[in-house]
Amino acid sequence: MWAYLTRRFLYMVLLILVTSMVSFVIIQLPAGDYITTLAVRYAATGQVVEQEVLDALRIQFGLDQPVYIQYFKWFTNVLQGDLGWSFQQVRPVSELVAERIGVTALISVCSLTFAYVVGILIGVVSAVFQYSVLDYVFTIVGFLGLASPNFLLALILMVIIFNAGGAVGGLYSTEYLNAPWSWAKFLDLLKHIPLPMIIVGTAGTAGVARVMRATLLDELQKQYVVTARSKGVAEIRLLFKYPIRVALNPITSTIGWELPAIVSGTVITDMVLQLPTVGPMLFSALVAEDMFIASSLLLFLTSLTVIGTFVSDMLLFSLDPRIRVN
Amino acid sequence: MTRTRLILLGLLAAMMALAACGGPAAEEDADMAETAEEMMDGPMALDQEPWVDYQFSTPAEYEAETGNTLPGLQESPMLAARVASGDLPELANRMPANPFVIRPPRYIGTYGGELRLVGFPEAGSYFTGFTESMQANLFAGDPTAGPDPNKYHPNLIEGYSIDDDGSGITMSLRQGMKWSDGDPVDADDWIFWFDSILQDERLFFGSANNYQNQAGEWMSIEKVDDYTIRYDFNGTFDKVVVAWSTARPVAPVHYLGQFHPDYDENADANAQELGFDDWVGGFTDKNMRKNYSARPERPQLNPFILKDVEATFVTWERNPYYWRVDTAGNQLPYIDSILVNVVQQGGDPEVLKLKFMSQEFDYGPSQIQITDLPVLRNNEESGNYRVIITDNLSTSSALGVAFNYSTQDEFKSKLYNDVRFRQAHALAVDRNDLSETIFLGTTRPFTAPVSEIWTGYEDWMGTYFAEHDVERANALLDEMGLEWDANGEWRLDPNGDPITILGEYATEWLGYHDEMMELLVDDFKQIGIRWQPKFVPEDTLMSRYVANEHDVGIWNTDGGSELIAYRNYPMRLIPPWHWQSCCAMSSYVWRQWLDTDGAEGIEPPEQIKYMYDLAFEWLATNPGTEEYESKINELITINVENLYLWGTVSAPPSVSAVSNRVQNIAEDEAFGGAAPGAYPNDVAFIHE
Repeated sequence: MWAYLTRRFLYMVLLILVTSMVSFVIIQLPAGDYITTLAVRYAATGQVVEQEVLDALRIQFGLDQPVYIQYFKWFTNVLQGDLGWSFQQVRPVSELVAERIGVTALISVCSLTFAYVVGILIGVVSAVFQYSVLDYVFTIVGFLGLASPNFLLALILMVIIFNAGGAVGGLYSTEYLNAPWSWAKFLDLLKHIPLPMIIVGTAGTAGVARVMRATLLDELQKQYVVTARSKGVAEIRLLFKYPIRVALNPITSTIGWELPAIVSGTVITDMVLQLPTVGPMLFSALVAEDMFIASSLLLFLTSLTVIGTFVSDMLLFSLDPRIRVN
Repeated sequence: MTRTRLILLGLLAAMMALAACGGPAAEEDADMAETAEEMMDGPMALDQEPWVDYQFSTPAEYEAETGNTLPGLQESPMLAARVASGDLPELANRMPANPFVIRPPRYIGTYGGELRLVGFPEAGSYFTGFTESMQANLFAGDPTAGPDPNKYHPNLIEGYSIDDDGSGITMSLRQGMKWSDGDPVDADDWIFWFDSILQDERLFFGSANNYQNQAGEWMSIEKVDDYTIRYDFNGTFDKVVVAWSTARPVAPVHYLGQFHPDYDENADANAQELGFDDWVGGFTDKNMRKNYSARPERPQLNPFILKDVEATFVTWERNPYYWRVDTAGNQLPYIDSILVNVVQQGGDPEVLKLKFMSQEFDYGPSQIQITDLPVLRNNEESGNYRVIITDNLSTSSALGVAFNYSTQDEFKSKLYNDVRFRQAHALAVDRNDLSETIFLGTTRPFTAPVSEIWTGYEDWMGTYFAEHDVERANALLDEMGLEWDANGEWRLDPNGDPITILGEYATEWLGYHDEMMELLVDDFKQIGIRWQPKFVPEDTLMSRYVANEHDVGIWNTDGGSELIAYRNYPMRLIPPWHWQSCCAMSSYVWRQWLDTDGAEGIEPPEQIKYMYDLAFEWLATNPGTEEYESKINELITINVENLYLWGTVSAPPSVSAVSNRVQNIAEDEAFGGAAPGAYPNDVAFIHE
């Protein structure tokens, strides 16, 4: 038993190590480095670009050294809890991530809740009233939700809300940006949250609704339902007491997959909406070859996934005797 | 003139402004029944032409030149409150005896308020265009200041005199001037920068050419007394004022000294305590390489100092020790604080535009383009802002083309180096179509590599080979012996394949290059040359440029102001026809050869060598002299006649927008279309 656990654990460590190496190298694969990006940005704003400045910056950031040395330096620092600095912002990566992770989780949790609550409700309604007008309407809307790109939806909703005089983009109005927390600021936040919540949630909603509808339909035809109904159990009570609970199983078992998403957020939508989440920061770091922030975030996300898998391995291990025997 | 008379005059002017339903004052204070008393609290309109003879290095100079007396000093109520609470010394002890005087463009402003901006957290500078201020430069230039030393006013310093024999410059510092933490600025701070930062490779990044003589030896600095310094040029240096005008050759030794071993024996330990490897790391981080204000704890001389940096916002606060005043004696800036919404680079600009139009920011985001004009105009009233359109005179062409003359492809090298090939391409472009289709008709045909405000520019240059004449273009290519294929569709190379040019470009931030390339490809089809447009990420393209692997350099011809050229080198007129360190457009290896005297790179033709020498001869001349003019004229002429870097249409006008609550900013042509913030922003004020 311990051998199995140790083996899984070693695999996990090895996997994290390899992923961190591979991602570190891949980030540097494109020609040039962060300094090239910086030079072009300076040129784009009409500033003088001097070779001496660029060379000095390269040395200062350690970009003049071979990749393996850069990796080694970064990784030893990470082991000591230092995630490195962001070239773009000249601030510690840990600080930057810490600032964003709360907001990211807040939005993700809101939109996940939205997706599951609305999705399950729609799924139940369309299963119970199969082939009714409602079912068709939900099905069509659901497919539209699945098929339309989120960022497009974001743009359209934004224009509608803007024209209706609502608040768009970001999470706070400018007037509350640096205000201390207050009831008004909280209300302002509440005004901004629905948009990302709905947009990020819709695709999920459609998926959840389809799964819920299918499994519930299966359940509804089972004998115990028919029996219960023939014994005169009230319809609503019957529905919620057994088939829905059973039908929820496949959904509950996949909820865990959303964990990395909670931390990373959704890149494109968040960019369109200008949300201060982790996703757009990772994206911009990758584009600009802002090495340490990109590598550290990727390492963080991989670790979450790998640890998640390890934990579920453990759970399976304790649940399934077959694994224990082998 | 007494103060009362000044105020009366101002009142009169204000009333005239109100009556002449023009300015924003008229719109916002339409209530004519306002009492005179109330108006005195508001901004006082000035009736002189904005941005003309408006800078004075000292009150004495102001009084001598205008005949007015500078009234007693005033300060923001915010600071007055801090003085009252004993938090801050009296105003008189915070300002130099002789502050710099600036006459604001339209109004004597009112104190207070918060300016709301949007910006990126780029390279730690929190660049907003507004906070990256030019107010603390060594010399303040007039808006039209080209390379003319007479148009620069001593700014950080009170005055200067150049030795009769031209061997040195003596500068008198402003006595009583303070860093933003209240420590005096004196000769030691200047010497510290010159001796310990500039001349230390570990601490100074950038070209030091302007601090060395022709032989590459350092100039030197000496302390005459606490408030007088003298630089010895170690030779002569005629263009010192122009060359040093944007310099800030001073650093707070009382603060940075703690990270420098010459000034503090615990420098290493001090830096390590803050988490740096050694004193160099600590010093560099606190001093910052490019922006002087990106670390809140580093004392500085700017009107605004960084206060707080968070994920979603950055705040700046007025510098209580700022050393410039308006003509009414008000310590500048007028604005108390700046709040910057921080957004991620590469995010969607549309949201920012929406946010601006719903009055969340005071300045439109920098991504606003000419194509946004209709939308901006439509919402001008409901969004309570005004659109500002200025000619973009620092960019000569919206898109310039420089074939890669040093290409290793033998056949293509022959093509590119034949002027007829370039002429045919220039003639094939339908410039009116470009202008109408992409720029709402706001641009005109323009082929020269420099804009028309350059010394040495002549009228014929802009339209040289700018007409649309496909027939003549084809005749030129026929003359070169480039045969058509059987269908008469493409011209053929020696292998019998269509001549194909890979048109790689990277400038996606301009937002119009995709469309432009499409139209150009159609135009070049008319002369049988097959262009394949291809967007390439900037990093990749840069390395291809440097590796001499590309067919053609395509870029907007920006950054080419005469002043920048004179301070550095005329980058649009010699290979690689852009900054070689970032965006070498063409023939990078030629430049390498020229810079290393043949040690590296590929030898260019004689004409290029001549142009290179000419450029550096021009840099050694003095502005205003006949030599200055004739040399640059010759260099431009050679470039234009050879179409080395030829343009399509002139750069579209810069479009920006600003909330009506912000006043006293440059809204006219005076600043040549510079971005908001490139002009004195310490005189801007909030008018609710």
